[in-house]
Amino acid sequence: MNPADERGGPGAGGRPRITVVGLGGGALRALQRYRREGWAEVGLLGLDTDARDLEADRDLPGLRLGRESLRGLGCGGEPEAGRQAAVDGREEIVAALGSPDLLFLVGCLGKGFATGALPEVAALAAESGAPCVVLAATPFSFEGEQPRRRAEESLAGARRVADCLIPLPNDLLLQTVDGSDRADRLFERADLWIQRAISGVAGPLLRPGRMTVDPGTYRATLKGGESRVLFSTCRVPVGTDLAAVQRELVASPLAGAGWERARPDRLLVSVGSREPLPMSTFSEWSTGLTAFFRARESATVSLWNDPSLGGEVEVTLIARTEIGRGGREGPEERTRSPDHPVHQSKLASKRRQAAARPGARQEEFDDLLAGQERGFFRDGASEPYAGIDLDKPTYLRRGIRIRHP
Amino acid sequence: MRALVGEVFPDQSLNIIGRAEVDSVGIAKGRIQNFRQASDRLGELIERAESGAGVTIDSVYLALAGAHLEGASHPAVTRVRDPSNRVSPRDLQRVDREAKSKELAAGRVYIHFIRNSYRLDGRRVEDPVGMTAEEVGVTYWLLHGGEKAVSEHIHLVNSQSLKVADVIVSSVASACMVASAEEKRAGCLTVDIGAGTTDYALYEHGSIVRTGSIPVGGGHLTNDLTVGLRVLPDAAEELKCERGAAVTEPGDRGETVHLYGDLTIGDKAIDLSSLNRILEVRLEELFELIRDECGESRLREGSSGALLTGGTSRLAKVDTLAERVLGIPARVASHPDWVAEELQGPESSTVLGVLHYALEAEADRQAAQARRRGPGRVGRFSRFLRSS
Repeated sequence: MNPADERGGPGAGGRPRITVVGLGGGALRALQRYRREGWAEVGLLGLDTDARDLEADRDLPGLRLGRESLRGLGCGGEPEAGRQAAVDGREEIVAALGSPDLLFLVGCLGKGFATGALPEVAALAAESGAPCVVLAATPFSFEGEQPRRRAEESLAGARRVADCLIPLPNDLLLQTVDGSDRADRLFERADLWIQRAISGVAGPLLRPGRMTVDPGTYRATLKGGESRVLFSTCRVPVGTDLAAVQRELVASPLAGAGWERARPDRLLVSVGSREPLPMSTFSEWSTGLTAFFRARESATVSLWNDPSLGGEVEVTLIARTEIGRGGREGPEERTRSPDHPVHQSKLASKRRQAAARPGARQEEFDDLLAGQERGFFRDGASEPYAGIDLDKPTYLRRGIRIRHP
Repeated sequence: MRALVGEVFPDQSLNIIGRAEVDSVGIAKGRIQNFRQASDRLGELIERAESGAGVTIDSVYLALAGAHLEGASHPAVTRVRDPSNRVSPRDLQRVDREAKSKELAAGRVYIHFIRNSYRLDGRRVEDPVGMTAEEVGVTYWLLHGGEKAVSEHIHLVNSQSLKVADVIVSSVASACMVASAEEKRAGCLTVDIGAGTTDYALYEHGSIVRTGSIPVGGGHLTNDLTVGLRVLPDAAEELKCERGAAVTEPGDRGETVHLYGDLTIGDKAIDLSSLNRILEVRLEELFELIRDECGESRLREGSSGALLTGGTSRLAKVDTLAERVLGIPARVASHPDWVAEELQGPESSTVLGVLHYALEAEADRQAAQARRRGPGRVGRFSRFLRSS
């Protein structure tokens, strides 16, 4: 039986099938918590090579990979072992995923299985045709250079195939807890943000409301050609003013960099609350948020209700920008004719071919982008002091978010 | 670039007769980036200083900063040779020579040998001559720099037909100006936050036991604001000086400041908490680097406080932040009362320290001449500086 159907919820009664797949020990712990506290309609599936992690919660459907090569052990911090296990278990994974309407992949990157398997599983998810949202926790900077580099490589692999990639930098989480808090609160926070991201995306599909959306809307919002998807979510008390909501959305640890400058083609605003919002609030928020994040083509607003939200309102934004569409309209396309003996530009087809090539990524301008971060020190050679490039602003190196009015 | 012109009188008193200041071009973080530009700017500086003082300058004392400067603590111990175990000046010469004899790597050159206190059989003493002990020891803080970087600076001065009388490390120069004799004895940390580098010196029992130069200064704060707030460098500099603070207060949240305040094209609202947070994290990192290099426990146990100087120490609440990170009381330092009003600013500490050093060197030279001739007197100002 499809593990995602075991909870009896997904797909029942014509509801969309939503599956959350956890990769590796860290994600399994988040899913175990979600099973206890989250929505029963969401199907869960754990993937790992470590039998102990999978057996920690027997009620959580799981699939053990690398049975022959790793014999129930973990990957020992080797992403390649994780990748190989995912490649070997390709058919089992496809069968376990089934045919969901929306798929989440959750992984804590930097170490072994999740880091290696994420790009492979994301590719299988993309083949299934369902919109695929990747939630990936990135390692703390104190864990060292190697986990950071491995996590970046894994993210780059997943980005090529996933429809929406939501990084959750652990360094940012570190700033959201008080110094007096217990260390395990940090990991609870990470689980909480993963839950919020899932409910923010799945809420309009699973919860009743005035303006719900169907999987087709998600497909249209998330899936497309070469594009970049930005995501953010926040919870605010009922009665919070619009400006505070906008600030919280920009400051959320899940918000990718660049929200301030984003001008998306498609924008989906999802607002969840215990009871229907007053008309004045709905009008102010829907107008204000779509204007603040300036959707170019279409904006969809969804209102849904869930009693578990209590006195809080959950606001989630998903924005997709098609790469290659600038802010200005280009000149009218010229076609070959007797009056205009010009050749068609091959740039667009070349770009498509380049994007389709495995491992293709334009890297020659990376130095230029890195230079921008160094401001007026960009012309000087980088001379690290104690291994740190001190010319680059500290807040950028430490991942500290700076608010903008 | 700053220059002071001093006139030394026969009684070893000093009068500052000229000063000049030009924007530093072609030099960044203590290293020469563009020799021609730097040389032209130095020429302009010297010309202004000469015309202000009405004299011709023929030699200079040069302050060096930059990450190429490094230091190492080197101890040495020797047995006292006298049969009755009385320490003689020869014993001290021998142990000094041994402590200073550490071999440097290729491409490095010594700049200062800073002696810490002597030890007789492990006990710290100021002047061991005539005392009895089996062993006499001493520790030197050996300051060295990159040979190429030092020779580049000397070549720059030579390019204006000037001789370099001596070189002095900026951290040592500014430290001797801002710390009083009591503070040096009690132990203190001096931090000179300049435009391109931050130089620090740690005093224990009256001597410098550690120095350092970190390639971060006020220019980095301006650059961080330029990148983070997306404003032009001039506007960032103005925001830093006029509205910036080194600590973010809860009240800053939601408060905005305007770039120009006249609502013209290009004017823009800036979140005050963002402005201060950018400055705070940069200075926090700087003080953390200093704390880690000196050793946190050594600072807490051996230092009575931190003295901040240099142009960037004018930033509001920088002492509060330094106190928080370093874990010792911190304050913005002031110069002695005899320094003229126009040189009381924290950005003059290094150049005043260089002059102090030059005067001491002159006094030592004259005292050595006088010793050869017979007993003599060392001037009142020199004595005052030695005791401070």
